[in-house]
Amino acid sequence: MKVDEIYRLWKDRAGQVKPLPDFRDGVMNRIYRYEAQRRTRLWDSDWLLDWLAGRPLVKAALVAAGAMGGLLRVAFVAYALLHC
Amino acid sequence: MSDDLEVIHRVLNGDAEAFRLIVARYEHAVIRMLRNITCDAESYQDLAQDVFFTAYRKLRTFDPARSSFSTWLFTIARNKSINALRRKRPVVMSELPETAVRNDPCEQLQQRQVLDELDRQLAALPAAQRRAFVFAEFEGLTYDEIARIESTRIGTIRSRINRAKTKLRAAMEKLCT
Repeated sequence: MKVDEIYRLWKDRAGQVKPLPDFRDGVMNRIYRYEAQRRTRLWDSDWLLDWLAGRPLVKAALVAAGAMGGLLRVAFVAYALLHC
Repeated sequence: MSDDLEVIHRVLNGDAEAFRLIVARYEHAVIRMLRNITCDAESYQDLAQDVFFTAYRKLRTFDPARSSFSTWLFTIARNKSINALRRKRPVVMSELPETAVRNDPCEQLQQRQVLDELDRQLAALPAAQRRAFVFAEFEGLTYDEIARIESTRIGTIRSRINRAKTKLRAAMEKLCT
């Protein structure tokens, strides 16, 4: 056998995959379970995280707001201590 | 691509069943890719189901302006495969079983043994080289698409593929001498 022939045979074999007969149903069942759980939940943190993941500006704004809140708190404590 | 966007639009508007079309369209590619990257005959189908489920959950984050849907899906599959391989002990060359393949002439060998030996050589490649090789050779992705999936430069991908090909070619030549 030549190298090229082996390579072709190997590549053909690597391409021969069969999904399990219930593969699609398995995926869809997980999706339906997920949707059913999501509908009964009041607070969907997954959705919020996914929503934030695609919005870098919102993430930056939240971090900036958090940092600002922290600074204001430190300033307030310092002010309270100095004026007691 | 436009078909994908239409289906994605339907899914995002509440038609979860439409996602079955996405699974049907990409199941072979994702399963094939995961089997060849993880070299794991047992768990790649479960991993592939996990890829589609994650894709469904994160569908809102898919941005058609940044990549095609297949590139986005393959990126999820790539990340899942890395996590799966982290949990598994890596295969190192010295642990690979010595087979009769190395010394005997190719004609006398069972074809299957030769191909199995190549599977072992693929499994022994460093993970990044193996992924780049599988994406390029088995999935037919362009270097640009692979670079996007791997979040790296095209030059790096080219060099990974070349190194993988050199090692596999050397193994094949050894098997045939």
